[in-house]
Amino acid sequence: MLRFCAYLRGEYGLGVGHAEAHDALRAVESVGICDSTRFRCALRLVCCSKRGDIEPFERAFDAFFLAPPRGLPQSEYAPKHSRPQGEAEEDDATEARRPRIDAGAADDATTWETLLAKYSAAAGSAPPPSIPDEGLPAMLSAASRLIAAVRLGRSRRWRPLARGQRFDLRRTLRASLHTGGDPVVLRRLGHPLRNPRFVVLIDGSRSMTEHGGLMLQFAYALCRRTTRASAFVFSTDLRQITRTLRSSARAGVWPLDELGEAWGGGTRIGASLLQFARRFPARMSPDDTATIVISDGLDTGEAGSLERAMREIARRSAVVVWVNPHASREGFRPESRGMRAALPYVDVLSGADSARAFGELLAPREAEPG
Amino acid sequence: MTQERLREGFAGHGYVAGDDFATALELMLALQKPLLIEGPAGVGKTESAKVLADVLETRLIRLQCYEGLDAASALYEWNYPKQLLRIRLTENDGSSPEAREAQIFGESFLLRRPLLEAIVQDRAPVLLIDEIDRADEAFEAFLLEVLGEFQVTVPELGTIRAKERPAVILTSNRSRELSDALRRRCLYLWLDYPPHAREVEIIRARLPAIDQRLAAQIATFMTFLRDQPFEKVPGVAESLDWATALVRLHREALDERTLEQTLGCILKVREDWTMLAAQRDRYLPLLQDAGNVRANPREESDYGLGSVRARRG
Repeated sequence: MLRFCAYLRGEYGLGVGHAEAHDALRAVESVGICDSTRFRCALRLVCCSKRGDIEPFERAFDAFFLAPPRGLPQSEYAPKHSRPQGEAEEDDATEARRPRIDAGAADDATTWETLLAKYSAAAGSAPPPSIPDEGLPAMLSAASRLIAAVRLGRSRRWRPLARGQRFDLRRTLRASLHTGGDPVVLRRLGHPLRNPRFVVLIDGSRSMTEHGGLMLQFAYALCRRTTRASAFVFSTDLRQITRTLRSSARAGVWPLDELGEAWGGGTRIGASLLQFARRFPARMSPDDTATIVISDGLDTGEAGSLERAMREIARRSAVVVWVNPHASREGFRPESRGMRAALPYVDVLSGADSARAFGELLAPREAEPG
Repeated sequence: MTQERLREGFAGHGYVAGDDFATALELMLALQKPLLIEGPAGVGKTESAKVLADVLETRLIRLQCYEGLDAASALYEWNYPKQLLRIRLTENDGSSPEAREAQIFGESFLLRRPLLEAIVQDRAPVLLIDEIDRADEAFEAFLLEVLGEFQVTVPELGTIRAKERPAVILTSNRSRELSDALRRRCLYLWLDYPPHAREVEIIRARLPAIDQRLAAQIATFMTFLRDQPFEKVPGVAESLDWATALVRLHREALDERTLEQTLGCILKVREDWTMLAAQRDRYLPLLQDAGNVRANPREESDYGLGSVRARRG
């Protein structure tokens, strides 16, 4: 059991410590080891702490306890839970990946071949992304300014506030003990400002790679400045990079194999955003979340999926910001199919192309929750 | 209590408990650890706690979480009006300040809220902390002491330890990410939508009088609905509501007219109705698969019981 717990921790990254190992032993003692289903279930209950742990746990269990004996041909052995992670995801994310090019959706005039190469929905590869060191201090300051500037209303929780609107009888009474029972010092309660959360969704498709450094620098700065930020990249797949950004001691290159088809491939904005909305609904809250989508809006996927995704995201966010690198150009009009579908659900459309612009994405405003 | 006895007890109350769920309950009671149940809305998370209290023949204490919930609402609060009155009445009785303080901060002035109430019971209750994801992080941090040690510290009274540890069930709809610290203190169970056969079993357990074919049709149609990208996917609660409605309307099988009349039992968002209407070609065969069921029934009344029908006009 201790080796299995260490195996879960080392090979699959599950947070199984000594306390969980102890509980696992007690659980096995309670259910016994004769019934394999109950044995597996008991360990799953103890070793998994969220839904995302279940799939790796099942693979680890099969690999550790059900590995075939030596000498058997390996090619015919297929553990029950050995399917790649994310294979059984929702329908929009597994649409037919036939390349579909909508040349009319391009905002700038290019040749057909260039459009095909840049906007094809087919998966592809790209050089490893990197966060540039240049301008990083300015971006970190911009992230701090953005966090301080966001105002998403007030919490429903009553907290001690010097100029709160409600009289705090309990604290006033408590304080009056020091003055003989006479309430000399009046304490007050009020609703504190909400502590905002941030979700950053970065389009990592080929058409956006020239802006990749700045986008990733912004996401890195935001994740370093607040623990209430999550970052994702998408292309033909969606990947979360929050932990990678936080664990980076300094800006630099990190392995592309962590991003797979989420970087440098085709452009399926709608399917990727819908995948985010369905897989990570807990990252958003209509009370305190600012969702920032950084994309040029050139979607080559199914027409209705981007609208459905944005409707879902807007419903679950307090404010939705769309950063389109082309929006800062002279004469830009959001007329591509993707931008037209997304705009009704966007609160702020920005062409932020510098640290200063990112810092001013959300000027101080009282946004209505939801 | 063994898994088999738990399953029998739950079955006796019309709740079909799967193997995973029964094992989770068994371990929760054996290890005396809280059980965190996550899953989509309407799969029976809250109901399970109510049934468990009935099976264990103990009290159910429920704490419904919401944003802004604090210790005063969840743990305890002092009866301030009573304290003020006592202070005024004993102003001139000559007692020392320490004696007066000890008096007004005594048990008789303490209002126990659900968490403290659960700890002071002589017989271990079932404590349901419902929709913990709706409370904020500050409340989660506050829960850690309670769930870790089953003790509460009241500064004026000292530390109150549980005489009998309650069976704690926390439910979450995953509208917000819970902290790792809270998760590590709990056993974790993901309660998903039931497979077809179990859903039929659930419907028949709650409505023994329902026709088996109708129950199977309902389960088939609900399985179809849950594959659609609705804003609010219907759960088991909606299946049971729908089944109850159909039984009350004396329907023996599904048809398109019945579906239109009772759609409000299963889909609760206007956009989902529109999306379903666009899928008519896909769901119509499911209704027609009921054998002698017609997609567009003849005009006839529904008077009578069972298979008795009377034609209009």
